[in-house]
Amino acid sequence: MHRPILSALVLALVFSSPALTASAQESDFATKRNFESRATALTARIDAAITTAQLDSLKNEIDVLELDFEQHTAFLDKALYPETFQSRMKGIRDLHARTRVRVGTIQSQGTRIAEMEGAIQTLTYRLDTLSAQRDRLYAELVQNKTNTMALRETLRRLQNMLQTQDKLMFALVDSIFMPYGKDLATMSDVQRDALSTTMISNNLITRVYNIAADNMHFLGATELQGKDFAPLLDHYRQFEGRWRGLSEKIRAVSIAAQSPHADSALSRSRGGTIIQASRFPTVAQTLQVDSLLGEWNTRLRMNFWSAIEREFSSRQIQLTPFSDAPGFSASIRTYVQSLHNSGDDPTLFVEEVWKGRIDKEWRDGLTREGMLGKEEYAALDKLVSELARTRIDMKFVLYIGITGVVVLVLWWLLARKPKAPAKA
Amino acid sequence: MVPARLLIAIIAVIALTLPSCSSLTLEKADFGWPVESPLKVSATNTVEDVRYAVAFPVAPLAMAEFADSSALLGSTLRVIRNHEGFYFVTGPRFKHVYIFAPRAGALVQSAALEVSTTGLASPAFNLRPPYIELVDAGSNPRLLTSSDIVEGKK
Repeated sequence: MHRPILSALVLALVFSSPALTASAQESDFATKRNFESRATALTARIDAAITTAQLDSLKNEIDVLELDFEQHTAFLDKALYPETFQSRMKGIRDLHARTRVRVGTIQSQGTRIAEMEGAIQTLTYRLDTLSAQRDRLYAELVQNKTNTMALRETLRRLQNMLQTQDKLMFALVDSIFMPYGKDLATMSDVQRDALSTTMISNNLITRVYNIAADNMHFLGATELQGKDFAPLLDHYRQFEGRWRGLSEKIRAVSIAAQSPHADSALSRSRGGTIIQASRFPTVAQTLQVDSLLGEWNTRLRMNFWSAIEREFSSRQIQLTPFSDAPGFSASIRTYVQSLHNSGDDPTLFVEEVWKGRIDKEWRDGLTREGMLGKEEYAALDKLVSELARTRIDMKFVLYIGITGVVVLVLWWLLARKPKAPAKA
Repeated sequence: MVPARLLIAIIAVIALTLPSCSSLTLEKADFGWPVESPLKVSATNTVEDVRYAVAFPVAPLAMAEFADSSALLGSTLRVIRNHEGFYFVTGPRFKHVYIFAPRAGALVQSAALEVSTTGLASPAFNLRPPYIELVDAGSNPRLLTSSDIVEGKK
């Protein structure tokens, strides 16, 4: 009765014994390899984790790994030389802690990025709308060339449009960079990829380049007047400052990435200059914008100084040619000195040109930092005013003299007592 | 007849010079590797262990085990050193564990222990001082010394 059961048990024991034997005997090398492969796989999974939930689960796996191999500590300390079992486990736990901080940061930034995405969309839409407006205004500018009033109005609107465009552009830049904080050099690969994607999808560098090109184009669109230049100079300085900030950020991230930008595509800007769109904006791209800004600055200053020169030459005042602030200053000083020496009438120069045009129309532009500056302008103004005062003083003396003579004559005529008639 | 004085002088000289002839010995040295090294036989019929900085040709071993000097090309040998400093070498299809003593520029066979009649399947060594443990799939582990199998003999 019990015999078949007994036989089955014996058979089961016979068949299972090799398996039992095999599981019981493991080579130390296999133990070492098993530990190393599990530790390596766990490390890779920790490094690739993107959520805190994943990391919580991985923490349990670290505990299991440690528990599984704790009994082999003495052996693994030798086998893993120069590492030890504990140092390897500590390395894994440290990596887990670092990854947790990183993932936490990314998750919180992800929330901020989501908030900013709406703002970015609105800004890009408004920028695109402005481009159409800009084209309309340029067309108006051509139409209104004969109508001075209308031309001035169009110019004012065009200038406002360009400034709005700049503000929107740099608001867009702030919106893109804000979620990533200040320390861009230490951002993770995941963050860098997200940032580069946002920058590329919004054509950030191309937009900056095109806006700079628009501003430069505006300078050549029509003849500008003295008062137009002060806001243009301010505008350039603000743009240049903001661009410097942006390019530093791009460089910081680019250098940190230190990755080859092989997967590059090309996009062509409005002005025909090629802007390279790569995985992340490269230093070369920022240099292209730098170069355009340099050109914008040169053209702005050239227009400014040549327009001032025309103020003098159109009134037959021949100054030594100048193309910058020191040249202008030297030229005015030379002319004032020549007037002094020659004794020619300075009225035209002082009253009509300097006071009537330069001081009224050009002072705002000339007093800007990077042009003459306030001090140098004040010194020149004083010099020119003294030239006029010298003439006025001479006249004043003459008038006083004439008045004195008249008073004397009158006094002699009126105060002289009539002689009493001789008594008969 | 040797004079007594001369005899005393000879004995004195020998007593003084003998200690300087004996070599310095550091007892209880331990050469054991904590873990075996699986070493792949290269195309030049040699194996090299980078960690323990040891390399040797295996053609004579292949000749001894398989009567074919190129039989081990591309295969993986298991090598371990016991606490006494003997190298234990074996591998898949081996019927023996070869034990070598290191000499100047050579490994000299001190024993070849028969561990299988059909050849080992996937052998591995463990250091179990004062023994070396040989494990192989499907058979009981055996404890080896530099000259014999002390446990798990067939």
